[in-house]
Amino acid sequence: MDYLYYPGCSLEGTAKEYDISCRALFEALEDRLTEIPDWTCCGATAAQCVDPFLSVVLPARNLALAEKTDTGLDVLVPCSACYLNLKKARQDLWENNALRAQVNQVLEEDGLAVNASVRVRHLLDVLTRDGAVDRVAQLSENRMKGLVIAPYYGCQCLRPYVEFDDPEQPRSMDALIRATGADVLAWDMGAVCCGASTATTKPQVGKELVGRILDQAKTAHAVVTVCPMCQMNLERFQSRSVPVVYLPQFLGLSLGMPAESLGCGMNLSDIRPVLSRVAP
Amino acid sequence: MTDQIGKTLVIGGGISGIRASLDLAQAGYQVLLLEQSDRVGGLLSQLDTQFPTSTCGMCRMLPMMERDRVDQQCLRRGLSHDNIEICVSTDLISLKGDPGNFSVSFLSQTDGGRDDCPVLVVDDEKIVRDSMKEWLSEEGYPVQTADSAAEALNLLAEGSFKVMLTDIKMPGMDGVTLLTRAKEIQPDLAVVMMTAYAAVDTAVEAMKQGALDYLVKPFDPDAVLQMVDRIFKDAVAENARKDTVDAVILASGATFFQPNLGINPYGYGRIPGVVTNLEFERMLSHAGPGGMDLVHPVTGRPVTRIAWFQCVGSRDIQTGTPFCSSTCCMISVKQSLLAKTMYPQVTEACVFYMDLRTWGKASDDYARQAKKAGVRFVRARVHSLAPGLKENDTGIPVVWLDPSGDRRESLFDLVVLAPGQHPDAFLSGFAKDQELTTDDWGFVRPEPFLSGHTNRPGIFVCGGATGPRDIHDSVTGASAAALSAMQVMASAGRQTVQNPEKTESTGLRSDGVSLFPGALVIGGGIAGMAAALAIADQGFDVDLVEKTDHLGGNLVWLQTAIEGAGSFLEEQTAAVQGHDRIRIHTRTCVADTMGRPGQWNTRLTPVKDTAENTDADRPEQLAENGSPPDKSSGGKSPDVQVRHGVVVLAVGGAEASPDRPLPDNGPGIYTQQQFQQALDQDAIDTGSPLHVAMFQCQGSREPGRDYCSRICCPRSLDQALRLKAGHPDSRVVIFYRDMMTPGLSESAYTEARKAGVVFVPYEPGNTPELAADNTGCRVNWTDPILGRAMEMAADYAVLATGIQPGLSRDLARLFGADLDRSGFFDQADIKWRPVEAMDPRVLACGICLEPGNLALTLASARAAAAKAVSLLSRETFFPGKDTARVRSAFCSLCQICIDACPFNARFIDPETRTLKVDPLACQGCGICAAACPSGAAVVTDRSLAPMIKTIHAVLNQPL
Amino acid sequence: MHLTDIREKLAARPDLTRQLAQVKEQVATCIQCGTCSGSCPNAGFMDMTPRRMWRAVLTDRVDMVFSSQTFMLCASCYVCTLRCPRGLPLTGAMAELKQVAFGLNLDRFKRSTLFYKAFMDNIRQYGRVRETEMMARYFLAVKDPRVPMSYTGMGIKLMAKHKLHPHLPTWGPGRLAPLFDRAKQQER
Repeated sequence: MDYLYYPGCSLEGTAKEYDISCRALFEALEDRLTEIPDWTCCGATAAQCVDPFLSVVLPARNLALAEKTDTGLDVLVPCSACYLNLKKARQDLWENNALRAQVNQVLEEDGLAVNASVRVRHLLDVLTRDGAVDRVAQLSENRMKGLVIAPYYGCQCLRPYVEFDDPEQPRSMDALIRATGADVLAWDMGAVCCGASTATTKPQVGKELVGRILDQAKTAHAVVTVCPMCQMNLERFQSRSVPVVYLPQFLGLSLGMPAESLGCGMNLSDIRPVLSRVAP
Repeated sequence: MTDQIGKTLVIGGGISGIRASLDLAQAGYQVLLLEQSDRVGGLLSQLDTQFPTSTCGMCRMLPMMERDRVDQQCLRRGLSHDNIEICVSTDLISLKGDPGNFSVSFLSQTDGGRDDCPVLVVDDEKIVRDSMKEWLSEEGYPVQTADSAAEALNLLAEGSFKVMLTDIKMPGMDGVTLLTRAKEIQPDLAVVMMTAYAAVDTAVEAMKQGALDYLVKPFDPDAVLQMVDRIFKDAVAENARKDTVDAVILASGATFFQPNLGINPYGYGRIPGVVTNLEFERMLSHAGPGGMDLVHPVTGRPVTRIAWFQCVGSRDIQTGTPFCSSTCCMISVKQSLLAKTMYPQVTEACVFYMDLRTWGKASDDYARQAKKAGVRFVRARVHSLAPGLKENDTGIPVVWLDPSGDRRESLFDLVVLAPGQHPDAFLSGFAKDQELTTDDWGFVRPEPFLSGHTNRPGIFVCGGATGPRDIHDSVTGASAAALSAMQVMASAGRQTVQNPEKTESTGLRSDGVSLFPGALVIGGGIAGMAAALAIADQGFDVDLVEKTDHLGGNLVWLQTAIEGAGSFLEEQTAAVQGHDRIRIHTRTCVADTMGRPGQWNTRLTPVKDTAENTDADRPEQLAENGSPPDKSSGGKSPDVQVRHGVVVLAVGGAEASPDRPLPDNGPGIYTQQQFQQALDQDAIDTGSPLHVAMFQCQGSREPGRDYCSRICCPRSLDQALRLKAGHPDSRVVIFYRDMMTPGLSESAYTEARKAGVVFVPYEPGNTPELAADNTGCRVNWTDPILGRAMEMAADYAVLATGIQPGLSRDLARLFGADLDRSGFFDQADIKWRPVEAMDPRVLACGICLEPGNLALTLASARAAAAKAVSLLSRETFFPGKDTARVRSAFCSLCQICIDACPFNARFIDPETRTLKVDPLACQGCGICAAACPSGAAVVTDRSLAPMIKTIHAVLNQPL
Repeated sequence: MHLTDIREKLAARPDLTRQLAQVKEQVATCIQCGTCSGSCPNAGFMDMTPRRMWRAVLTDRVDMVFSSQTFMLCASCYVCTLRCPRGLPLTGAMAELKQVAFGLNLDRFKRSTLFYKAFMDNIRQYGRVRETEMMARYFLAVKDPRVPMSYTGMGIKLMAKHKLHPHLPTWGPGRLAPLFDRAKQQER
């Protein structure tokens, strides 16, 4: 299947390897990602705090760009924070005609208009519901057998919009991980908050929350994430040395793709234990 | 046609259905009782004990009169009565018609049942397959699953299915293609599409291609079952049995919320020590899984620390349940008390609650007993038992916040969840089919002022189908519904079954006894009027006695506060006054009574002290009531003798006066009733922004008056909302202990919060301080959440003092009844025989029976009338086989046996001056025989010698 | 922060007063059960539990509300929103309190205000966030040498992984300026 692709700012910076591995994985799975031309920031946390109206306008601009492609494709978003912002804007614009009119007057400035018809989907949603599990199973040849993986979902791909998984006891990654031959760590920290952006300004918060999460992951060979913010926090506040990799990196490795093609040199945590366990 | 015996269909064999059936059967009508499950008794058959007796009292529902016509056995094992045809494991297939002529068809699950209706579930997601299989199998459908369309086609080729539920979006062949292919294999297959979220369009498209219907994920199990049930019923309708009935009583009950559905924050089904309260009830039972021991269901180790979590699937919008389930607080109080007292090993019994809803007259005292026994009550809602908190060897860690915000943690062996009551799948389907009016949550909404009437004439409703109900309310409501059915049958000209003994080959029995076919109703408030009307409408004479010079009681001042109550009161008064079978005696009270129970001859006398006769509730007054002076026997007439077979006490009650000295009775301090009257008379300018402080439980729920009056919290909410509607800037603060808004009345609580009313909880001993002077009132308190001292100036302070019953002990004793510890009518059993004394001919209703609002008052009045009618309808009663008799030669008339008899069955015959037994009232218990010092009291067929022999035999042969 | 100061500042901003009233309305049906606070991962770091925060909002104790850091510590994990038995939009309400606090321009939130301002300026300038430049501007604005120091270790790590790119502007300055200005107009 084909998708419109919204990488978001983090994937151009601190989460570069997430971007690289996403694109590489979809190519390997023979799905096409078309980057939304001229996309801009979704507003992140900042817009919501200081300017509520801009926090709708900024994602709306990107939705409008997606609609302008006239492809009717779903928008795939790997960053959970961007996903929530785009999704929320889409819901608000869909339900509130007055707001939509107001936003469109602003978007006129860029020659754009939004009607909120495009569907916003998280990377994990796409991977679990559009048939990737079977293809990974076919291609991976159980390459990851012997590894125990802790799936870490974080918050905003699960909540508040309950789209593709249980918001408290998520399970969607299980099938993907098993498709690689690896085992899933039975833990219940997968949907527990890592501190997100609070960890940037209040490091002691991140340290404690991440500590609790990694403590429970100690019997796993690696933690797999689907959000740049989670990845950053889990890697930054390592109390013990636990490899943390992005889900597309992990799936890519399971398909036998070269580590460099998945940006595996860019992770802040030491992921050699995962790389070395991969069957040649 | 007219000599046909009346027949009523009762749907549901839980306690409501049993109660309604027994009332109808006792009155001589026939009952067809349908029950879906394989036994009668409903939820209650799984409960060993009920509060406040801490025993099971279900068998107390069995008739007291002519008890030989019913198997006198444990009702949890079964029920049988000559006039009741019980069909268990039976589904209602269709119901059509009007009062007096409903045709019903129904089908036993054993012939052409659900096991002949195999279902195929196709979905690529395992969790969907597994849960659907679980739900459907539980209902008796054989289920097979397939994880792909290809697999499904294989299964279809191998064997036949009636129903196929298939996902649309699947890898490989999709559901729509599967639909087409499956129809080729099996053209009559009913196919239901399952689709996620937004893809409804495809499902609709599939229906054009032959799909029967579709379901949207995530599924509500009820919706799935309803869908499959509908298909099943259509398929089997031709095998069904048919019958004709006059009236229908819907008593299908409610179902418990399943805690593992939805987000399951307490890990039910995942964490081994987490159980529901029904499961715990079985663990407590000596006949349960642990036998005499209370052990952990998985580890088998003794349980010592138990936590109860309230409001699981109640008062929780996240589970679609904005209402309170009414009963769970008391179930947990009971379980914690029993656990603590039955098992000394239990060191920690802790109930986590939001408001402890101990409403009604016996609950609060029971909760106090639990506290005394060492049960800990913690006002906190535990958010979850996961994540990060796994059960380990030391127990389940439970974390909560105390009011100040501090984190607390304790370990427990067991966590007992108290799941709420929800409407069940049958109810929603039935309500839809029959076009019954339901509320926002799917419960059937009874018509106002007509307890148990639905919007469909001839179809009545009671119990859990009307909302979360406890045993007491269910049993009362069931009798009221039975009365409504009797009314339909009477107006259709139907007959009752009379004296089957006459027609049997054994010939005529000579020991028949009859009641005088008339009723005395004491109290002309709305309860007394409703009871009198219902009895008179069934063709019996009623004497209605009222102490004051007018009818209406408390509803006179309350009528403007309740929507529609004014015209209702007017209609009822006119109907009573115009009824040719009702004699009204105003300004009259009961002087004394002669004769024996069932043949009473009661003397009525004018009220003497004219200064008091407008004050309806002087406890020292023997009785009450009357009508306008122009009609009836009036105040100045001489004494009147009335004969009656039953008596209904409906003397009412009044607002209790504040039992603590008020601060100078300053201006602006009102009782709740005074405030209501001031509001109704527009003496308070609600259009201006007022500051009002309301104080709940003033003198209530404390030693001395240790019951909850059940009406004050809803009334305060009503007043607060009125003030807020009058002026949104009005500041209303309600100081409460536990907001008692059980059931659907929870919504008023939510409304009040929405309107900006502030609620401040307090505990006895930490009550807010109210001071008043000429300038107004001042309230000081400490907010438990903020931890700050707070203060407000109030224009008005409103004290909710609750209800004080107006029944005197003398009056109750005159008819062999008594008062309970709080001064209300002492029921034979608060749950199972809620409107009658030990002697079933002595009935009570309204607020002298128990505190309650207008709806409850009317329900108890109609229930009492149902009891009266079913007794009066019988021309002759035949006593039970085992009854006591008196060997007069040995009797010294010491009368010890009269006091000892709990059933009011023994009396001295004034004519012969000998001791007699009322064979109808006597239950053959033998207490008299044990009490009699001279061997004069004996029980038929139970002479001493064989009894002693039996005891010896038992003692010599250990079991 | 003193009651009178906050009251005065609020009085001068009817828009924020209105927004605060909306928050109060959003949480009006709160029953103080504490589910939010019990499930909040950050509750332990807060000077006041969310429950107490809602209570303070409902009883108009703005002094307590805005002398607290609680809403700044909300990580928007939405667990409270998911679990609240009253179905209240608590995460959204926290965000609104943040907005009101920033709008009031209170000294105590100065550092966060500067951070978000640097962020927004960055977007206005480039359309996308350029972390290196944004942090540099933030450090300049904070005027406290300890702040950049605390991020040094992280920065070096990122640098080593080629994740910080001090690249030249690819678009002209003020990439989204017209949009921002138009939005400002619209909002009025």
